[in-house]
Amino acid sequence: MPVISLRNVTHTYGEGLPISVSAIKDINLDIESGELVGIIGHTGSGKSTLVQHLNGLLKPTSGSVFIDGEDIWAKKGNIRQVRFKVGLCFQYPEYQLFEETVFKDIAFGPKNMGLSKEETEKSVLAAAKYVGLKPELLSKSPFDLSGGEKRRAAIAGVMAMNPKILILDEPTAGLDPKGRQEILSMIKHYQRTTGSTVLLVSHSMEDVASVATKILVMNKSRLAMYDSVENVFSRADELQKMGLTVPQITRIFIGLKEKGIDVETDVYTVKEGYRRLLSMLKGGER
Amino acid sequence: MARDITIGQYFPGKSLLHKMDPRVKIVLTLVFLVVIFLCKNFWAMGLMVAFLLGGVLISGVPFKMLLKSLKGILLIIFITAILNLFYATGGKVLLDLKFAQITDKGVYTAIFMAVRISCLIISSSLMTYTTTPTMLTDAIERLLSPLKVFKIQVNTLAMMMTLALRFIPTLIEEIDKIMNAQKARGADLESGNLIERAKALVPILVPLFVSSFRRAYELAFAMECRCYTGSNERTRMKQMKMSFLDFIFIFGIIVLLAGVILLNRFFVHLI
Repeated sequence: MPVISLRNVTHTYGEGLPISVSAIKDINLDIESGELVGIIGHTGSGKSTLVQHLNGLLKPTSGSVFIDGEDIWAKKGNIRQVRFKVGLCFQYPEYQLFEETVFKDIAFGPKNMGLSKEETEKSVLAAAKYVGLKPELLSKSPFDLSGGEKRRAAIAGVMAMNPKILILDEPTAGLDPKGRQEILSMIKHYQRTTGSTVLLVSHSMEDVASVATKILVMNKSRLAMYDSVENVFSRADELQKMGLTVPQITRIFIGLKEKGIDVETDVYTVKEGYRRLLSMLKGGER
Repeated sequence: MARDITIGQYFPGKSLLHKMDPRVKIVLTLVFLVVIFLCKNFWAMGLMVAFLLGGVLISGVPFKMLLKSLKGILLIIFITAILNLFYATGGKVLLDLKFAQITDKGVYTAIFMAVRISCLIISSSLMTYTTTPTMLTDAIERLLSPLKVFKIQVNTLAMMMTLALRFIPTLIEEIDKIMNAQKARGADLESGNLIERAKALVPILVPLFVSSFRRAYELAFAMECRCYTGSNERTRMKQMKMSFLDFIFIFGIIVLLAGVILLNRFFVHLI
């Protein structure tokens, strides 16, 4: 059974007003448990609106959202429970920090869940470990942390609720390349160890290609593709038409093939491309 | 919730009211507010309301939007009306309850008060709906410029107002964002008693203050980088000029004022 199902979900902002816009239109989607889904699309393609439906921050104008096979809007007063199950971490999450200490801030979610003191402490420490925050930082004020550390603390605040599904909206936005890589591998590691489903919204094809197991492409408020990484990137032409691209390294391999060099184009990370080229050059033949 | 704030909102359009000189618009709105309180009987009030409705029609602002600005203070109107109903003394007794009396004068006062407050809100919203915030502050700056004689820095005040208005939508957006982020962590903003609700605001207010200060610093730096000092006399790109249209509106208001005064004289004062 898919852990997330959307059926004909449409959301219209400002319904009934002359300025109404449909941010997402008629989305049908099934996401299986344990996937790491990369969500890509242009600015304004409906990515953020889509993910806000998954934890009930937005209510679909029409259609239904099923989490674990349950319609989240069927029962009244159910939404808070849904939010604990589906952790959503917004873009630039460091602006949500507010407590006196990092520990207390990360504990905000678990405390809202009504966990006991011991359980809260356990999940805070576990979350801090996942994001790589040193224990001595936990007693500091969140406003004294560096930018990268703030980001980690904020992500930990969502992870500490032990959500079954973790959604991260542009977690690497505004970070330097090293910071990006660290956050991405931390997400991958988290998904592997907890076995939870992770959705990662991103602009960067490189980011998505390096960690995702599946890719979801949004285009003009509609779901354009939802498939494995290979299948999505093999449709490079279609992606180009949407104003999206495949990763740079894949483009290089496509270019090589067009020049008549016998290479496969299913290369998505620089590491893999390096390995392929090296073995090709060494062996003369591939 | 935060989106219900309509004061300072602008409704784009090309009507005659939009084209008016904002200085004239502000002054005429003030005069109109005085006229609202001059009306002493239904005839005068009818003329005033008709004038206001005419203005609404000319502006092209949907009536629904104006009513929306009334929604927020509906309770205030209601309470004022009720209080006036009981507090006004004199006149014929219509209903004698043991603890209070309702007189015809009370009923009239209640009606007049409700109409007055509604007209106050509608006319001032009409002004802000048809004037962009920048035009508005620009006009206020010029209207206040005589105060320079008293060493009051009018342009600094105007800049502060412009900035304050400019950041209302930004702050609303920011509040929405922070609320969503905290809701996603299970913050419960809707239930609980008064103290619990006030406590629930802390996770929203702290980040809001932090980001407001950050924004203020950034803005100040950006302004300094563009050599803003606030003290010297700045020239303008857009010069305001009164046109024939403005004189027509001024004439209209004078006619209204005269009409209301005359109607007050000829007919019995109800309050």
